[in-house]
Amino acid sequence: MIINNKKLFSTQIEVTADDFAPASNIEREKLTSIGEQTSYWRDAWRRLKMNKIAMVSLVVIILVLLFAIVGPFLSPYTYDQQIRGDENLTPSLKHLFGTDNLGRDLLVRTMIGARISIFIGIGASLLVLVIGSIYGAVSGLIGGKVDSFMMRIVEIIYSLPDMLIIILLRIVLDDPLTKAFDSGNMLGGLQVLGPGIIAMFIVYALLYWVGMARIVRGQVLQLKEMEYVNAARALGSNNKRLIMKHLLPNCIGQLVVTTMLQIPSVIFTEAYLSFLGIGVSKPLASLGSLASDAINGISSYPYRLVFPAATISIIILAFNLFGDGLRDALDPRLK
Amino acid sequence: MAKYIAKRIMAALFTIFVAATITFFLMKLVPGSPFTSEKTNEIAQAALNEKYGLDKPIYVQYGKYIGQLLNGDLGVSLKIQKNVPVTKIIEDSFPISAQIGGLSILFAIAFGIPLGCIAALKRGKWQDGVIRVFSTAGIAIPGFVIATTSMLIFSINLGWFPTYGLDEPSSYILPVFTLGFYPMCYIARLLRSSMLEAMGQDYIRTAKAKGMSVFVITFKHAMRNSLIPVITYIGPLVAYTLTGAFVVEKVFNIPGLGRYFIKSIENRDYNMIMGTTVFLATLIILMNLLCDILYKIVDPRIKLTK
Repeated sequence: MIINNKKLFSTQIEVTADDFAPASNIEREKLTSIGEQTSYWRDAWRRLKMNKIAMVSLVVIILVLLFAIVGPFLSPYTYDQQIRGDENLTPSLKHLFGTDNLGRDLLVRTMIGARISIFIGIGASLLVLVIGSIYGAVSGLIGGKVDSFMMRIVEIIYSLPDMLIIILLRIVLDDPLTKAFDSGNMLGGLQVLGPGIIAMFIVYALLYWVGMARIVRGQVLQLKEMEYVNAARALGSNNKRLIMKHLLPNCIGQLVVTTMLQIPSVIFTEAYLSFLGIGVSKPLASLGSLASDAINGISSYPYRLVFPAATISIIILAFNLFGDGLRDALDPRLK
Repeated sequence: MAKYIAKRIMAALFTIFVAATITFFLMKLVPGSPFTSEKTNEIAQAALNEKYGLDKPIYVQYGKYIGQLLNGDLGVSLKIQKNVPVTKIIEDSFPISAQIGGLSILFAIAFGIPLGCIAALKRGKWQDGVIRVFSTAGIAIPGFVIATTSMLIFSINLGWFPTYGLDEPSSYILPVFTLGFYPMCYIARLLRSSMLEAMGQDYIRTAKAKGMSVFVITFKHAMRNSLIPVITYIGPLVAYTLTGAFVVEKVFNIPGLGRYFIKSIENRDYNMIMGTTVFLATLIILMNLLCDILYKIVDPRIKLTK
């Protein structure tokens, strides 16, 4: 293309046949590769990597997961093994965290406790995610009277004092669950978990999804006004498809962040309940129940308290800080 | 405004009713009557069931229960203090819990607000860093860890305070500190962020341009608006204090309502559990109501509709 202007300010151009030839590969590359391609997740990961606190927390979380999941396999003891003659030992090379009054190795018990706490934290958070997001999305999408009715239920559950209801539910569920477990044939694979953990899951499934439902509903209310939802509807999507394929994937950032921040709060509650003696069932140990057991001998055996207490604080702190970092990375608009 | 308050009161009453109903039906789910564990024969058990009306259909029992609640009757304790009315136990033990709880709320506010203020004013400086690390750790560490560790350090190793009971004034210090620690950190974080937000507002710039002193700007202009989120936190704070007291009273062996509640859980004293739950739930819901109304009065910018 030659610009051959005879007069000043003229825009006349002369074109030749070459100008209409397809671009060569080299030319094409020059035109297209302006910046490296990026996706939502790659973008978020880039932002997350810059956040030092979040990265340190991520490393801590991975270490804790290794400690909790791989650790028990490396230990020569099991969590319920009572070693005769090794009762009430202070930390030593043989038992790094010492032993309790029944001669159980506290290192492996702390590992199992961490495993149980994290398992409950993640499991219950996923339950909350599923129930809360579907409830919130349905409520927001349908709107109108259904929405206000569904939100009224959420409001009531929200204003109930959760801790008290949790304690109550936990006590009430104990007997029927223990019976169901003793009868054996029920619940199949859930048997290994024991009634304590199942009760905790039920409690969370019943009460804790309301926060998630509110957040998702708020998002859906905004999203459903957008053109692409209209287009999807015009193409024949029903509500189920709209929610699953269009609405929920578009609030994925919110979902991930809320679930991530739910984990430490579940672990917190679990520890609280276990500490009060209504957490996981014996002889299983969670970090809260280990700390609770330690109280009676606190003046003579302080190490029994220190290790589980430190572990749980580290876990909650790491998950909290990582969740905060994730929020900043996934949704920079939020603060 | 009156309409709004009336609406909130109705909602709160309904929530109390729901909480009481849930409590009742949950307790009915527990298999067996409260007397099954006693070594009595079937006839005696039937007689006991009849005496307490447990042989009637469930809706009759429910009606009776609601009627009793309206009269402020929570039944009698079945195990931990046999046949003593639950209301009597609450009357005796709740003032102790309320004392500890009230003091710890005061502690949380008295220290949380200055800490948040300092962090916001010294944003990015070392004071801010220290307070942020401290308060982030504070909200991540469970209450029982703080309670037991502080007891281990200050009572057992250093011997500064008694380990249990409330006999001396100094024995209040650790329970109040441990119960108030989490809310203190929470308030500090809350105030820091709301203060920073307020400091960025136009009216603060105007005040600065008029040449007002930092002191007046901070305390008269920024502070007033930043305290609003703290007020909304008072409701959850009361709830936290009441349930957190279970742990603190267990650790320090304080004869408050929390310790009785834990005892009744351990002994499966269902009447006591039910009564205490209804009492505490009512208290929490009423505090939330108060907090809601207060919030609207303090901040006239909030629209009353919705």
